[in-house]
Amino acid sequence: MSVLDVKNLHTKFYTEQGDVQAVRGASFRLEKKEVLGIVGESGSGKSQTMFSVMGLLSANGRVAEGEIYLNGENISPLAFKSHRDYEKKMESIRGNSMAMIFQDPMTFLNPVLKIGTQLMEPILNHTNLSKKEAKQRAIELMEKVGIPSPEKRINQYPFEFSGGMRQRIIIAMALACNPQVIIADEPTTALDVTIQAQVLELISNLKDEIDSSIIMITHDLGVVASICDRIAIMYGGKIVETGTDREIFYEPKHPYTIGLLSCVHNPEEEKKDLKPIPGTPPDLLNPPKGCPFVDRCEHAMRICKLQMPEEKSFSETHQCSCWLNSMPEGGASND
Amino acid sequence: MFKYTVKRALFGALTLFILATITFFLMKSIPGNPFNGDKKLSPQQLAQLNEKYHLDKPVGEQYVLYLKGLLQGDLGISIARKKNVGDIIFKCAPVTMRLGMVAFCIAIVVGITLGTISALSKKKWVSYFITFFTTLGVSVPSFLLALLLLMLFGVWLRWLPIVGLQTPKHYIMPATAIALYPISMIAKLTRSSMGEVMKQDYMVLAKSKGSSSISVIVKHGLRNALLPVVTYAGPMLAFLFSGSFVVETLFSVPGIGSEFVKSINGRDYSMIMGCTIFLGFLIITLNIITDLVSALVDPRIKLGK
Repeated sequence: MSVLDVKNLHTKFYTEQGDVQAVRGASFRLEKKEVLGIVGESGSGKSQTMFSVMGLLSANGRVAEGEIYLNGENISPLAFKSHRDYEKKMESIRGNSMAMIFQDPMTFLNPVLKIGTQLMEPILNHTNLSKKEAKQRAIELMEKVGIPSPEKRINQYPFEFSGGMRQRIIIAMALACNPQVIIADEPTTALDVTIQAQVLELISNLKDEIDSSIIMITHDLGVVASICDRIAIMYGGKIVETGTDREIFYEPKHPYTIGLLSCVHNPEEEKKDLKPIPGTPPDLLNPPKGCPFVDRCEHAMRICKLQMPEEKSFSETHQCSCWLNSMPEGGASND
Repeated sequence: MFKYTVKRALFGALTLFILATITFFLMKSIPGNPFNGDKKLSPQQLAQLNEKYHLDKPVGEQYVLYLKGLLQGDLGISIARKKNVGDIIFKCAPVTMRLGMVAFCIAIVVGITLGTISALSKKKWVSYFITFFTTLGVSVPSFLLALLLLMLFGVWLRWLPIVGLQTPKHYIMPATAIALYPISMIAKLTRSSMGEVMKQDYMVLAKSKGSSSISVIVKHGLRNALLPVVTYAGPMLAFLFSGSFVVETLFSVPGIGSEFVKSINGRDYSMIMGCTIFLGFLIITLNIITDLVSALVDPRIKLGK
């Protein structure tokens, strides 16, 4: 059984301009001890998918459809009688069996509370440890994520920490209760390149030490390549292709995936120019009926505009939704 | 911290000195004198009185004499009351301060509660109603509210006593009248800063740790949201401690506010100086305390830089 199984998730944001359909039927599985990378550009719905899973959507966001199974139990807000029941359930899950690592370490720590207080919070929330024991555990966690002299640092405030150190603290918070699922939402985006490398190294070292499955959200394929087992490519609120790292990097099927890969600089091929994907992502206020990538796709056909392609499997692990793969040979005509 | 406090205290003393100087010369430049009251005095009596209070000397000399007295802790004799100014202040200031303190506590508790409810309530009408109330609160002058309260609870319903501050019950109306404006200001401040804090990323992180909404709001939200309130509360307390002439007069409270206004009308020079210096001292001290408290609430504030 998968640790986390998300089926046909739809998330909407109700705004004055209309409903923004941020996630439009995303489905994916996360197996035990697996690292799943979710890749997509800004606005593709990757972060909002994860905020839906964690129940952390902002006030105007709602899960409109879909199921979210954590160890076989449906924790979608739609599966609960009332919002209160849902919140109660999620309070016991958040930080305990599912934890999240956030994007910007500069804004996600509370500026007026000591690091120790913030780090002890999930421990005190979910275990019966006394304050003293929780502090001990917090110090261990700080050691684990590579913070020097934690006994001293635990009494300091976030503003006394550098960006990289703060991100380590956020990672330590996520690890506090040995969660089964860790969701890392672009954990290196806000950091300097050198610090990025350190934090990535920390995460990939930790992944061997702990029993957690990890979902790594990123728009950086380089990050994915270094630590992910499986990759899901997200575009326009949908997952357009999933596969193992080998399948995605060596046998990409979706034109968007191919486009993303040609945006990555490969130091071995010096002469090759980077090829950006022209155009902008679709407007999710009025999402396209057919394939969301149709306006930017160089292989676009008439049917792409009209209908969303079915998902096709190339192997047990490799699926892709694109008409190019679903059409019989020769049936494709450029239009 | 200690060094900072000492530095601030020294600057405070300097400010107080400047305040005393300006007030002294301004006061002397107002036409009239303490003795053109109801009963006519003969020229001899007038000359005698002027000599007694050093009013026959040039203003500069009077100023030096006053400062000399002040440095020895002598605030002079009230011309109108024929009593030591220090004694008068020490008798009426505590009355005002007790009333001010009650009003302050009401303002803090009610203001923060209203502001928080207004910021967090999902029902639109709750927030509209509180906004209406607070807007009313900052626009209605305290004497109007005081009169309304007096009429309603004192005269028609006869629930509350209307004169003096003898029992806790006596405090209800004057304290409410004084507190309305600070309540409204604090509610407005809390509402806007709480609204801002609720949008912050650290609130999401706090929730992601499995804390309940209430604990997230109280532990992570309020602490951040109250910073502007603390900055406002210090000077507000000073304002409350300086008393309100109108409210004190309406409720016949023997406080420093009414004493101060009376002294200005009567050109009671030493009393004017005494009240000014005392209130100046209060305001300066409370401002220093406010800054120290802000630094306690927000560790990012580094004092002395």
